[in-house]
Amino acid sequence: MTANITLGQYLPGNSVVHRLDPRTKIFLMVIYIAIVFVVKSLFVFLLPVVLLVTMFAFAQIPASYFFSALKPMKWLLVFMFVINLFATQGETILFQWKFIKFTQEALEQAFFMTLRLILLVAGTSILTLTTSPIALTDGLEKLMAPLRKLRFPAHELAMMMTIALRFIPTLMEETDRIQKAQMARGADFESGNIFQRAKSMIPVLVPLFVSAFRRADELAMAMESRCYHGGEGRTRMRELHFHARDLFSTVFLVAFLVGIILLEKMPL
Amino acid sequence: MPIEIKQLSHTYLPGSQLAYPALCDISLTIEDGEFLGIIGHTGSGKSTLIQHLNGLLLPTDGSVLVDGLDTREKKLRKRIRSLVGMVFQYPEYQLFEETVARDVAFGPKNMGLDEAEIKVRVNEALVLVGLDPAEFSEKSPFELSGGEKRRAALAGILAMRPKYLVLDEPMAGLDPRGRREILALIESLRRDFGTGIVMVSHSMDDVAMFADRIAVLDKGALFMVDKPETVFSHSAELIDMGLNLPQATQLVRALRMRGIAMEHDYFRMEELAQDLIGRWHHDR
Repeated sequence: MTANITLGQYLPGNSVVHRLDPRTKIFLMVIYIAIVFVVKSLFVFLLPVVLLVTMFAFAQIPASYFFSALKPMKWLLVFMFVINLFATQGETILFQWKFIKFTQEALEQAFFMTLRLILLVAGTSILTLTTSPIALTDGLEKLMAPLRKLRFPAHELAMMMTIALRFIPTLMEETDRIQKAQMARGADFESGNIFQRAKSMIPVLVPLFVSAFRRADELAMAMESRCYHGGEGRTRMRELHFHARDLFSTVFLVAFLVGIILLEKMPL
Repeated sequence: MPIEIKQLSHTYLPGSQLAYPALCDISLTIEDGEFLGIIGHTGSGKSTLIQHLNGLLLPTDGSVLVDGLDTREKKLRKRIRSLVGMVFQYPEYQLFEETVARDVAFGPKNMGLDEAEIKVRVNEALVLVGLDPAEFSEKSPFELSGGEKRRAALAGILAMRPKYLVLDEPMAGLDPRGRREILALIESLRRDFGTGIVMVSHSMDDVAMFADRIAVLDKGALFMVDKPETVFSHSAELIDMGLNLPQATQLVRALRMRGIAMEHDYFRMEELAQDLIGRWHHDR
């Protein structure tokens, strides 16, 4: 029953975006977010939309993933739109009925805020769609490495993330197994009100926690017996390298950002 | 009434890219009070098959009837699950209550029995698995030893007084003494209560020793189901499937290769030993 939940949203592929260095991709996302927030005027908004479509095309991600990325956000998007529509002050009244009214400015504001959120969510989903969780943590570790001078545990944090990701499917499998074992003893997880259902999960959660701790213990032991001692002096099997594509994409996106700032400053 | 498996097929994640046919057209009847051994290489579909016996998995095609009750009927499932007790691999990992007695009572409680009856059954089950109720009832299941934990978990299923008991590798990870105790318990359940036993095992010797019939699964299909002597006479096929032979059968084969004429195939050590002792006396 848990087997049909796909984990993470990584979509394996070999596009140019997939092959970018994870560090570059994280950096590009930051710039992309900046672009989305810098844009204010009506026509300039078209540019990040075009940019998003281009990125999806380069990453060879089917359009359906665009919608599935937005799906969990749909109520938030509606909420954002409505709040902005009625809460923004303006002068040109478009619609009025008793105390309910909204203005041209509010409509624009609501539209842009919602569009901004869509751009943000869909854009950042490209990062997780094209980067495997392991590459992502590797990239984060490298990016955080300078902070080690300030005694920030960059390696340990990345290792914890990697281990957590590694164990999600294992724990799902375990949950499935324990759930079945208790169902064989007549446990019922499907009927009853919310409190009864929560209570019926105890026979699953207790063994699950016990086994998670046991696994953690065993893993720690296995790591120590292979002389793991943290990030100090640790080398990697696969080093991250920057390529020309990393440079080009960074230059392009930075130029894009600068262009948009200039456009916004210029009186049209 | 028996458990009837009719043309059962099961596909995991049907309709998706990951669709995986795990069982294919299996027909098998498990008689009352029978001891059926199930053998097969890893991934041959053993676990998938036994999870159909109490409706934890439902057939993609075909049907499973337990005493005439169809596992696909949602209303019947609770009854089916109290008829067919299921002991998963490493059942000790399902213990969760504060005391052994309360954990054993989990199944009977779900069956809706009254307090007095539950108490009787918990005591009975603990005695059956060889855990003295006076000593173990109030202990936490987490402070027991490995073998005791396994027996406590087993008691949790026996307390439901199942008519059939399905066991997936019940001896895995136990020491020789623990193995013997569990095997003796399974045998006594069948002898004293007429419980039908379905046991999945990798140990050919255990299956050869106790099973009335053996079902051999290979790549999701039923290769054969027959008496042990017939099954183990197909030694070449079994080895091809990545399975082993019982030690006695292996010994007979080795003796034949050395040119010693053995008239019979054996799969139980005692019988082979009798034969060899007889020869030895004869030769003298």
